[in-house]
Amino acid sequence: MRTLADTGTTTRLVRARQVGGLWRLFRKAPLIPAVILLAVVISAVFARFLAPEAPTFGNLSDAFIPPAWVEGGSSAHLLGTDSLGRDVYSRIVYGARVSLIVSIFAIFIAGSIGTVMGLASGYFGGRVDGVIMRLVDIALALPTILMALVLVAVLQPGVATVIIVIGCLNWANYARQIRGEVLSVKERDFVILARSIGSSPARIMSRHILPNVFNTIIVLATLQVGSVILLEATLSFLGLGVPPPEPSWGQMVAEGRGFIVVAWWMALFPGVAIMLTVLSMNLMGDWLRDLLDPRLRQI
Amino acid sequence: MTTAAGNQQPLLDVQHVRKYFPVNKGVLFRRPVGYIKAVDDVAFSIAPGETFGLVGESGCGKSTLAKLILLLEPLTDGEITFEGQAVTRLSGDPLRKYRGTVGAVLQDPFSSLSPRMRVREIVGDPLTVTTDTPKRQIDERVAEVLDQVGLNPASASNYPHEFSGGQRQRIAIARALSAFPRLVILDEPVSALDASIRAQIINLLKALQQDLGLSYLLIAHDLGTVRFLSDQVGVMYLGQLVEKSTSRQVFTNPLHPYTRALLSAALPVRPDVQREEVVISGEVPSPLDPPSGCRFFPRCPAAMPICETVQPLLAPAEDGHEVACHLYPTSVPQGTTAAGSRGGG
Repeated sequence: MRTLADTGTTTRLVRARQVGGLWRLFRKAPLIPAVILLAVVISAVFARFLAPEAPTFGNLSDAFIPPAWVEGGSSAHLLGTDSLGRDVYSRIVYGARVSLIVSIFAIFIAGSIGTVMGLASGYFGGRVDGVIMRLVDIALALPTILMALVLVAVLQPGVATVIIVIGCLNWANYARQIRGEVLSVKERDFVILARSIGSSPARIMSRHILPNVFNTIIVLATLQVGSVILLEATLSFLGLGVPPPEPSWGQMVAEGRGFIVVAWWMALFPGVAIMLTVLSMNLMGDWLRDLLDPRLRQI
Repeated sequence: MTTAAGNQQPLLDVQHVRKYFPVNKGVLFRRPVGYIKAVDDVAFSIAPGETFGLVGESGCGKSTLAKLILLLEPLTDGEITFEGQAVTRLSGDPLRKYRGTVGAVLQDPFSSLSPRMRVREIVGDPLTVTTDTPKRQIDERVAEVLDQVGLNPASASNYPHEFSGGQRQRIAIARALSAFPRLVILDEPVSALDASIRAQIINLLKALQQDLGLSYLLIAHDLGTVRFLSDQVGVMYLGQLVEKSTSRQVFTNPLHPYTRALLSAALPVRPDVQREEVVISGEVPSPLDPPSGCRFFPRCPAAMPICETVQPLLAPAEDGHEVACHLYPTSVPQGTTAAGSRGGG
């Protein structure tokens, strides 16, 4: 009897500890950033249902209506309207779509290029390493925004161009980080054993090394989202990003800049959206890094 | 164990193998300023079903030799033949077959299994790479070898971190066996394991050898393991074999002063019994600049004047027992005056 009861207690304790372990994993997850990011994702996906008006619909007689809680505001336009009478709130909701699409695809491109370069550089070493690392040095030495401006000016402006340009400018960080990881992973015995049976370099890199550096790629990608959104906003602000009337947060800030004295809400709210999203993404990235890469903890 | 007859064709034959690593200096124009002679003229052979044990201090070139046989590093000079074929000149299908015929088990079972692969993928990998076996047959083979090494075949879908150190080494052994090897290179297979697990793994290796007719190249610094598993033993010092004979002869009647010191340094079975102690002083000299003559002379308790200038040859001293030491007249190269080669030992 006694033993049975004891066993029962132990089982409960073990279970509690397991649940506790799972809880501990997520306990440190930043709640507010998570909620904000979730809201951004939901806005992007369900913009059609969340926005009261189409982002490009404007009625000039409704121009410069202030936010609802300010004197003269209307409950029909929660965050007011812009110079063309378009609903600022609706445009921010739709703008989340651009930010999300651009960051996901641009990071995918940058991550893919960077990972391949980093794997090749770290695995082959020697001359390959030398060439790739000099390319990385060059890429990191280029002023990103200036280069982006030049490239976008040469190419057709549009979402695809922005994605490609940002993707091609951000790979160097991945390459450098992945290379470092590969250098340590490739000396481990399982890679040496894979070489001893004559596995091809492609197979060793994809099957043996890549899975062991994947955490790093994920963490880097998360940490990059913030800066990519900022870069997209910057390009749009400078008029070389997403062409109007398609809404983008950076472009909204740019348009609002001219009316900052008469209609401060035009620039303020998209600016706040950028800031909150980037901040949340960075906090999430920090958390994910701590979770996946214990070596970087306490840094 | 069976002591294979000497006239049998050896499975693996290593002849005059050298491996020099260049040491480069210079900022703009890197040029070699010297060579680390990791393996310098080593020869031995392994008969089918036999175990050749290699012993020596760390850094003496044992593991480099293993890497050469696994074709992980190109040879500087010499020849390695496997079943009569020169392996360094293999390419295409014969090379692929050789890679499968030689398995390897390394020291650290935590580093030798990829943490991101399932046991099934790890164990089946040699078969996937060196043969065109269909996936279903690979899975069957994986279950079979897991059973052979004493693991539950159902554990194939688990990840390595779910196993203990001893179980991981069993997985590593299963991996080495999956592609039906004839020779398995065991590079310190038990030195990372607890003493209690060690015996299990050693017995497993011995049982597998008997069941499957495997040959082993055993590299270890633990003399007990080498003595228990090996038929032939080679003692390495600074990239060279200094003594080679049957396991029994090396352990009961060591001829080279270095071997004597090595055996004397091992923990005795009966610590209360008084033994002759041979203590050598100093460190292993740098393989970048090995001593002239006999490489062991600066540390040798029986050094003579000739040792400083003339390099002794590995030659038979008594009934098949080979030793490279001027204490034994056969080691003195021809044309050299044997003066001073007499003397106590």
